[in-house]
Formats: sequence, C-alpha cells, structure tokens
Amino acid sequence: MSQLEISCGLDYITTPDLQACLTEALHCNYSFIVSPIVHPRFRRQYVTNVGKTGGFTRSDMVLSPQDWTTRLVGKLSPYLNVDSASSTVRQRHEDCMNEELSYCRGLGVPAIMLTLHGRDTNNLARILQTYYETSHHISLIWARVPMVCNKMLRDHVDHEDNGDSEESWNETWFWWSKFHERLEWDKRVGVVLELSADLPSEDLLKRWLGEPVKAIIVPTSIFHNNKKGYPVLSRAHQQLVVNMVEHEAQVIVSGARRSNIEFYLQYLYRLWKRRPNPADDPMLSYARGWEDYLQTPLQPLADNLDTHTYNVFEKDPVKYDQYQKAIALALTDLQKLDTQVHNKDASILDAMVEKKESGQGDSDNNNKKVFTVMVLGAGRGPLVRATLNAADITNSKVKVIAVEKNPCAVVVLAAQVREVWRDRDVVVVPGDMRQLNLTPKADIIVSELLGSWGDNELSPECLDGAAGLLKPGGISIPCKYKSYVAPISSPRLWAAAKAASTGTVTSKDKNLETLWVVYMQNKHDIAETKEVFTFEHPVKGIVDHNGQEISDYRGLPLTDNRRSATISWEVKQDNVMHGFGGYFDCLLYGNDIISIVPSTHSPGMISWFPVFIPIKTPLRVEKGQVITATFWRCVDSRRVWYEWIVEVGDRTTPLHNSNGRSSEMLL
Amino acid sequence: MENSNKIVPPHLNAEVYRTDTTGTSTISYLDYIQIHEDSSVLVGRSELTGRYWNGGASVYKTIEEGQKCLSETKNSIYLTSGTADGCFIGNSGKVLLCEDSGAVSVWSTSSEDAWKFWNEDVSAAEHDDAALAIGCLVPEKEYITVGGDGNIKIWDINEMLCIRNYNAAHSMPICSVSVKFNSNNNFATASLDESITLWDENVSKPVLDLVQNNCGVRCLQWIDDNKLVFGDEAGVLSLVDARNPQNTTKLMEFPAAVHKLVTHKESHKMGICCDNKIVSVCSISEDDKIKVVYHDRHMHKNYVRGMAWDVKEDNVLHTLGWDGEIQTHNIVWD
Repeated sequence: MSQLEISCGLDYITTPDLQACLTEALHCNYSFIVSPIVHPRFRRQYVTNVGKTGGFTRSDMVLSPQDWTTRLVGKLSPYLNVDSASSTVRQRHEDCMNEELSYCRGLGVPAIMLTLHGRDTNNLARILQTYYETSHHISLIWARVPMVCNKMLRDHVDHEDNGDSEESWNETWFWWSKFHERLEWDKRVGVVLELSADLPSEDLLKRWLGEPVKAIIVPTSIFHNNKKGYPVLSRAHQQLVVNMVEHEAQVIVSGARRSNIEFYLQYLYRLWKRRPNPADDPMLSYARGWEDYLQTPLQPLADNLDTHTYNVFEKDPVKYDQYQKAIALALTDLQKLDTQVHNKDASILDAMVEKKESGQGDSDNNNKKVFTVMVLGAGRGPLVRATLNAADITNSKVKVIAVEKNPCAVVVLAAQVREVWRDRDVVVVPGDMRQLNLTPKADIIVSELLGSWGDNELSPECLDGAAGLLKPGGISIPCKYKSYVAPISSPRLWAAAKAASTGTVTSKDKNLETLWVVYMQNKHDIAETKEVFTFEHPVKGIVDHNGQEISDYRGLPLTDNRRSATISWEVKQDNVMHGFGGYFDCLLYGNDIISIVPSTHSPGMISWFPVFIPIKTPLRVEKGQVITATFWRCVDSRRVWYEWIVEVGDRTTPLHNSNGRSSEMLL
Repeated sequence: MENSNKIVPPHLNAEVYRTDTTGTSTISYLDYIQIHEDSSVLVGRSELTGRYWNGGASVYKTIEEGQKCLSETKNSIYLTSGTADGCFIGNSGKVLLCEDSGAVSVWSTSSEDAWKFWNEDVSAAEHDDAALAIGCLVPEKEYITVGGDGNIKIWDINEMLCIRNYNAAHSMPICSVSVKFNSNNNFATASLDESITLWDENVSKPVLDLVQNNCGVRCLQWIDDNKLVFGDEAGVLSLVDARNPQNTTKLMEFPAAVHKLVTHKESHKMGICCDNKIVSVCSISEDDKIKVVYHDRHMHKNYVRGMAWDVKEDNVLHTLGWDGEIQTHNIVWD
C-alpha cells in the first residue's frame, strides 16, 4: 500500500543497552530500530546438538514481546560469509548463521537484515530457503545491498579509463537480482538499498524502483549541513528518497551521529511532507490500497455485474465526459450530413417549383430528423444520460434505445425511463445485443465493452454480433481500439501472480498463464510500450478467395477476430523480464480518445487498471539483446483466449495458455 | 543460596527481569592487552553476551597487579560500549581506545591525582561502525583506526582531528592494521572482504591491493621491512612479500580462525591466538619456514583474545581472553 506517512528506522552500530536504545529511538519518533542479534565481535563455534552453558547473546526478556515483533529489525553478524571460497569458512559460518536465524525465529522479529557482498549467494539462498521451510512465523528477509560496488569503481578510476563507470552501479543490482532469483523471487525477501554519496544514471535508479525495495539506508555521511547547521540532503538524494518512499520503502538512518538523530528524522518528515503534488492525480488517490494487488479480469459478458461494480465504474469523472463529447460530435456530423442531403433535395425542388422560404427556425425544429442512438450494454444508464446530454448540447433529436442483458440493470433502466426520462424518447430493450433484431436501425451505436487490455472483455464479438442493428454508414462509438504491451520487470507482481489462488485451486501454471488486472507500482519497464491488436467498428466482413464478402446466416458480414502479432524490443540495460504490462487506447469518435497507455493516459480517468501478463519463467536479459514476443488472440465457437510466447537470444519460454487451458473468456 | 524476602509473583517473572538491573554490571570478556615500557599494563574488556554490551579499560602498574586485581574496576575507564583495541599514548597515563560505538577516545590520568581517576580528554565518533583496531604512525601524534564500516581514518590525536579518511577502503569490516617497520606513513590493512591493501598516508588512493585471499583476513603483522604475515577466517597463516605479492606462502593451518598475531620485537617470533583457547608461539626463519616453539591449550578456559610480550623478559608472553584471565607463558626457545 502506498505510504501516506514516511516510516523511519534507526540503525544502531551497537546496542549496549537495548531497552535504552529503543526508548531513545521511539522518543525521537523513529518507528523501529535495527540492532545486531548477537554482538558482532562475539565469535563462537556452533556445534549442532551439543549443549553449551552460557548464552551466546543477551536474554530476550529485556524487551517485551510486542517490541520484538514490531519495533526491531535483527541484523545478522556482519562477518558471516556462507558463500566463502573456503569450505571450512563456509561450513563454520553456516552453522553460526543458522544459530542466529533460529534465534530470530524464536524472537519473532518482523525482519532479519543481512548484507550481500557479491554475486555468489547460492549457499545463502539455500540456507534461507531451509529457514522458510522450517518456520511458521514469517520474518521478512531484508538483503542489504550497497548502491555501488566501491571496489569496481576504484579499479575503474585506477585504470584511468574515462568511459562510464556504469558497471560498478550495475554490479550491485546483480548481487541482489541473482540472490532474489535463487529464492524464486520470493515476496518475503526484499532489498534494502544503501544510498551512496554519488548517484547513478536515472535509468539505473528507475530499475531499482522495479525491485521490492523494503527500505533504503540513508547514511548520515551523505547529509551535509545547511547554513543553520541542520543536516540536509542534496536535491538528487531528496528526489530519490521521495521516489523510494512512494514505492513503499521505509527509511533507515544509519552511521555515526554527525548530528542530533532527531534532526535527521525531522528532515525526512519535512522532505516527505513537502514533496511535490502528492495528491494531484485522482488515479493515485483512487488506487491507494490497490497497488500491486492482483485481480482476476471481469467477464461482464459471461457474468452479470453487480450493482456495486456498476457504482464504481459510473464514478469515473472523465470517461463519460469523453463519451458525451464523442456522441455530440457524431450527432453534429450526422446533422451536417442530413442538411447536405436535405439541401441537395431542396436545390432539385428549387429548379422545379418556385422557391419557398426554407430554413426557418421553428419549422426546422419540427422537421428535424430524429437520430436513433442505441446504447449497447447500457448498464445502469450512464451512457443513456450522456446521449441525452449530447442531444441537448447539439440541439438534436434522439431516440435512445438502451439494450441490456443483465436483468437487474434492466430494472434500474426501466425505472429511470418511467421516472426520470418520461418526457424523453428512451426505450429499454432487454436482451443480448448479439441476438436482437430491432427497427429502426441505429444511426449511432454506443458501447462501453472494453477491458483493461482493450478487446479482452469481448467487445469485438459483441459489436460484430450487433452489426445488424446499425444502419449502413452508421457510426460506432467507439470506432477503433488497440491493445498495447511493454516488457516489464517486477519480481513482486510475478511472485504475487504465482502465489495467487484462483477460486479453490492454487496452480502455478494456471496463474502464470492468466491476465491479471492490477494497479502496477513496483515494476520497471524494460522497453517502450508497443501496439498489439487493433479492432475497428463497423468492420468489413472477411473476403473469400473470389474476393466476395462472406455473410453469415443473418446476412451480417462474417468477421474474423483472431489476431496474432509479433513484437520486438531492444533491451537498454541488464534486467530480468517477468512479463508484460498491458494497456489499451480507444478512439471513440473524431479525435476523441480514451487511453490507459502510460504515455497518453487520459488524465483523471480511473475506470481501468492495466493488466499484468506474466511469463512462466522470468528471463534474464542483457543490454543489447532483443526480446521478441508473439501474442495470439484465439477464438472458437464458445470462447476467446490469448496465447503468448517470448524469445530472448536462444532462449524461449514455453507457449503460454495453449488452447486456453488456463484462462479464457466465454462467449 | 539465601532465601529472599522479596516475593515475585511468578506470572510477572518477565516484567521483573526487564526492570531489575541490579545484578547486571559485568564486563567479563577481556579483549586486548598492551604493556608499556614502564611495565604498566593496559587491559581492554567488553561485555558481549550480557544485558548491557558495554566495556572498559584498566591500567595496572604491573602484570602481577593486573592478574591480582582484575576484578576490581574502581579505577578503570568505563565505556558505554565495548572496546576492541587500545594503546598507550607516550606515557602510561594516557591511552587511546577504540569503541564499538565507532568512537575513538583519548583518556588520561595525572600522576598528581591521588585517586588515579581517568578522564576522557577528547573523543570523536566518526566511524560508521565499530572501531576495530589501532595502528600508530607517529607516536603521540598520528594514529590510524580501522572499522567495521570499511573506513580507515588517520587521526591527529592531539586535536582529535581526522586528517585523512579512506572512505570505503574495504567493502567489509577491517579487522587489522599494521604499520610498516621504520615508517611513518606506510601501513597495511586486512579485511573480511578477503583482501590486504597497502596504503601510504600521503596518497589518497591505495598503493597496492596486496593479497586477494579466499576468505576474510582477520589479522596481519609486518615481520620485517617487506614481509607480512596474515591469518584468516579459515585458520590459515600465510606470508607475503610486498616485493613479490603474486606469491603468498602458506605457513600453517590452525583449527580455528586466526584472531591475532603479535611479533616479538627482536626476533622472527610470533604469538598467535585463534578463535579457540590455544596460545601458540612460532618462529619464522629467513627462508620463510615456520616452526611451532610453544603450544598451550589448557591455561585459558575460553577464547584467547590478546597477547603481549613482556618488556623485560624476552621469552615471556602474557595472554588474556574471554575467560577473564591474564596468563603468563614462559617460552623456551633455542
């Protein structure tokens, strides 16, 4: 959940008096402390199953149980290196680490902090996996990683090679990423990023934002004193801290006390408070609490929506406004067309008979053409209302036919027709738009059948089935929509998808072959967003080998809504791909667009969260490599589904969702 | 045990423990020993497993006094955190102490003071983790401290001014520092990041990454102008010649990580202690051959942590450890 408040902890170099340290930190308004579990200099030999007199650390009774479980992050001893090249050391340190881990398990600390020092973390990951296997109480593992590998940076400078030092900044990301990969991107394992005095490029920082950064360590050494003598951060660090906290990171102040520890906290609070425009975007406040929370996409065609869902979607301040504008524009265009036809007729008449006054106000009004607007899938009527408004605005006459298949919504619509729209021409038609045959035919059909990935709520199938309701040359609002994807890195979303339980069964394969609707926050775009599928309405029928349009039994053009698209991206920096972010945009009419594509997102529109499309095995990608993905939209007589496959270099994922075995949309 | 007239309701056992701190002022782990030319003995101690992880240091007139009065702490220096290393500054009335809190402090007592109280003259808390070891560049003036933060700091201890700071000199705790013989600016550091690095006080960058070991290096000592002996986490004692750093010679292997080395001032003899109870003395010949000349595994009851050669008796080594004892070893060598 996105933070409304900043949460700060204080890292103690040593906690001579644990009670006093905790009291001091809480007194200064820190939320928690980080403390060694065992004295960092207390070397010992741990022999399994051999009892020893005398404890290896202080009694846990110095603190109350609540303090242990809510206020204290335990640090493992800094010397432990369970991946040492020396097998002797590996074994000794493994024993000590297990002793400390099992002590932490007994304490029930919320998080255990350890430090990564390199890419070799096989044994560490193995030990932690065993720890999780054997623990009931779940402590998070916080892996502390420096932002830069100083050794590489120093060697780099030594060689006086003036090229970029990017490698040194890339390196520590690898330490973390490899470690997390070995733990199968476990969501209980997060990274604690230690900020450095210098900061890397924007791209590298952004990549960290895609990682589950549980906390950032702000060393007191990177603060400098302002004119009044208070510790402050550079502008770049300020921005980074705010970005990280917005991504749910906590902040840990660490290092020598170069100033009063209260000042650091006060500064961080102030920094957070005066961050630029925290609540300007309605989407941000709307989505609060839903960040990275996976939801199964709705299937409004197969299932009837409940009134609460309608209620939520009707609250969008932007979407219906756009629809109203589009309908108004369509009505205006139709009026113009009508006047042209009318004028043409009139000019023929002029040649034959004496000219009569035409175009008089009231007579025009009376003779004005009535346009039939069908709202397909009217729900509880927001688009009916938008149509009536559009008619009023453009001073045109409309007959509104509201088609709705959901009996509950029909009740609501009928009530409005009776009570609110009694002097307007509104007719409610219950039934499935694909099976109705109505007269008069519509000049305009209006629908809102799009899902987060555009066509994934079967808008193409519905509208094609309703094509018979539209006059030839009539207007469909929307008239065109496209789906988009971008390859993303997000251990968090991937782990959540893997673990999500759908209904009663939990199946990794199923979950990773499904689209998830989610307000994605903890992710990083590996490359730009690109188009996948396009649909247009009204659509031309498919053409046979004789060049003839094929019609179905009702005389409607036969359409083909199967699609396939292959898309490639070049990787800009080393990363791990966990899946795709999926979006859509939609041309309603004219230039009137609604979009959830990040670069063109309709400001303030909250109706759609994007989709996350996972891949079963995350792929490590290197700078310069090409990711190639193919998506298929498959259709049979009773359902629609997507399949996808990804290739990077000579590696290929399995085909996802073959024959719709894990996810499908029912027709 | 006597009966107590204080009845604690059993269900409040934990709460009483939390608030009853009467029996808790122990500082039982001895960490280091240094002997001044005037025979005074500096002993540093820490509490590592008790309720309070504090520390202290005491100066005794002689080893014998130290051994006798070890448990009396009334004239000692009291530190709020443990201490991993310390040394005399010039006379035996002035000491420099490392603290686990990252502070480095100078303490003194004046001979006029009949009570022999120690006062903290000056202190600087600039290390971002525990200060772990001290080296002396210029006696009574310039000292090096290394820390768990991987930083090396050179201090003008008269002003307590950090005159050079090697930030992130190592990527893991630096356990040991050793100043080259007859030098006022060259020294070597050993770190758990598995490397040994040479430094020159006048240069802001490392002079040379001397050794890349296969596990953390715990301690090192110059044995002459060019050769360094170092011990590591695996218990291996090795020798490297700074003129030819490609070749390190493995001298011998101990059953536990090598904790500390102390060279005898006039010979290639070296006291060695590990993460165990054993005290060893070895002699290293000109051609880099090592011979164990003394071995004791019984005098200490817990890990041996500190060693110092006697200033008068050439073949006497004093050791102390986490058993809270100071022991004296008479070494017989040819």
